[in-house]
Amino acid sequence: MKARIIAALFTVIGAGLLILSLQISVPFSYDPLGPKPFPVFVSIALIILPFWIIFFAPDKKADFTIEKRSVKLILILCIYMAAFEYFGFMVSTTFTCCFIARTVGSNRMQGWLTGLLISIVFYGVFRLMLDAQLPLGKIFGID
Amino acid sequence: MFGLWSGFIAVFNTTHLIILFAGCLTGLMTGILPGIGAVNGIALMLPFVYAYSLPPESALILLAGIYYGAEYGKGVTSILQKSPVSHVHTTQMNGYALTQRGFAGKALLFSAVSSFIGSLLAVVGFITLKPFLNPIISRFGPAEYVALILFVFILVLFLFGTAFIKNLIGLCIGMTIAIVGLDSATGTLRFAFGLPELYDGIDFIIVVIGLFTLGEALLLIEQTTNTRRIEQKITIGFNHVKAIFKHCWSIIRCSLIGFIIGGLPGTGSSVAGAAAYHIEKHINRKKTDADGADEKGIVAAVSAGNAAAISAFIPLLSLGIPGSATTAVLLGAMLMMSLNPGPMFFIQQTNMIWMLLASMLVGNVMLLFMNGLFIRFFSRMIQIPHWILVPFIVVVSFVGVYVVQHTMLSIAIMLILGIVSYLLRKLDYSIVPVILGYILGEPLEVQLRRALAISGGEVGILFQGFINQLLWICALMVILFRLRQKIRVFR
Repeated sequence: MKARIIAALFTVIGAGLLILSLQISVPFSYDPLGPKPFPVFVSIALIILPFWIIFFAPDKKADFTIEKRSVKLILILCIYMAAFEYFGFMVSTTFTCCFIARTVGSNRMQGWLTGLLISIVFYGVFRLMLDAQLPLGKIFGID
Repeated sequence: MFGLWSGFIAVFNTTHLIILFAGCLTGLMTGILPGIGAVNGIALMLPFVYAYSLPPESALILLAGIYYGAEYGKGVTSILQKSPVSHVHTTQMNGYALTQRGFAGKALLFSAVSSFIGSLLAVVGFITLKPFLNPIISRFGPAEYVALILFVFILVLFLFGTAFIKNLIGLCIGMTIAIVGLDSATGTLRFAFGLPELYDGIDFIIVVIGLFTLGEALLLIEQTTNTRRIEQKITIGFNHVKAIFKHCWSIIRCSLIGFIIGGLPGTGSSVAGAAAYHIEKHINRKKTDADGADEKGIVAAVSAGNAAAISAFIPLLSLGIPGSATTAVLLGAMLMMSLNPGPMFFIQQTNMIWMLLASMLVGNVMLLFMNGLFIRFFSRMIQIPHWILVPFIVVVSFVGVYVVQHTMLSIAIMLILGIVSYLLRKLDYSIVPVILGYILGEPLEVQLRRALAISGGEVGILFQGFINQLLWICALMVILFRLRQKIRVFR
């Protein structure tokens, strides 16, 4: 059933993309095809193809279970994304890594150590060695 | 031969040797770590390449080293670990059988030597074939490219996984991602949703890290308790070294099979390994005992797999056509570094190609020594707990994407792609058509529009000329072959 719901979602996305594709207007194009037909064709394919899965595909292998751990990781990643610039790389990474490690099965000490080590090593490598910009934290008044 | 000599001169400078060593080592380690592999190894290394601003030739040596290094590593994991999550392939079947009987060292030695000879012979094959490729690839125009890309799509649709419709949906998703941004010919915005960050399209690093690395992390977190590894001392004796000479002809034969199959788009090292194994099994069906059969199984699958990994560079460099997910990621990385693989690149940048071939020869020698001398150390890497691995992968993904665009939108897109990739894999979709659709979607549209502009809108141009006709016949044969198989199963 879940496979069919996801397939239906593809059809909806395809329909949305088709509406956007049909709105593409080009005042002048040097080639006979132009930029419109390709997205239109892909969108139509994305609308039609999932129908096969919705109506004809067997159900035996299609269903699956999303484990709690994966849902937890997705939530942690969303929070990490929200905290990345606000709390800065070091703080957000330490906490995120600790939570992920705990989710996967480490004890509290191992989790905090993993978080601290990864954030320090990555900050050192990217900021100090490779001179890449990493956020320091808006909350601390540093951009 | 002078070209190869100049290639060796370019490789034998301190910087390139360090980069090559780093590439081989990273490849070996990512190949050994269960669930990581070559494609994630390359994806994880891209942020470092970008941040360090490596020169294109050095980056190419590094990334290619990761690719063929991971082939060595894959063999180690297959031999030492029985894991329901790893890809079931022939090395696993035979290598693990030997490990269970207490011959892990022997199996690892066989794997390392077969990998080395397979890669070496494939590089020699590439060098031999190189002069003959120029006249063929220089005949490729826009129409030929369209036919070739469609041929690759047909191969991928019919050969990857079992579900044709799912592969086709994956291809469409990939092409949709490729459409986002400004149309290069007319400057029209497509699927950009008014967001300036999307005007240049979705960056390659974001797509690769999202689809592969983050998707893999989400799967990896579910598999923490599924692995099982046999604990035994790895010993390599002189009699093991002697025993490998028995399989000399098998290695050479399977390397040749792997070389031919690897050059075909849509195949990859696993297909080559399986094909070589079955041919070898057929040839030796009455000759070998159980031990001999397992040994032959390892050398056949590993030598063919490594030869295929090297010969996959032929269509990649000469035509700019990737045959697998890993070569698609390599192609994207090359485009990111302003290298445009294809006929012009192959004919004009001969120095770089010779340097790459020389680096492959040197890199394989390095890998043989790493496998021979430090195998006990590397084999312990399988036991790295996932509570270290998963946070590491997550942080590389976030930092990698952030250093490229410095926007939270890019991280959000990566996260969405990671979740989509996770869901697709759970639903038995292959990610290979998605990445090929993304990488080849734009060239397909651009070349099709060019071809139609040349012909004045006549579609017939796609069927004119020997190369086009040959490609369409080959495509038809693939379709008929698959249909025949389906009808047989149905009966």
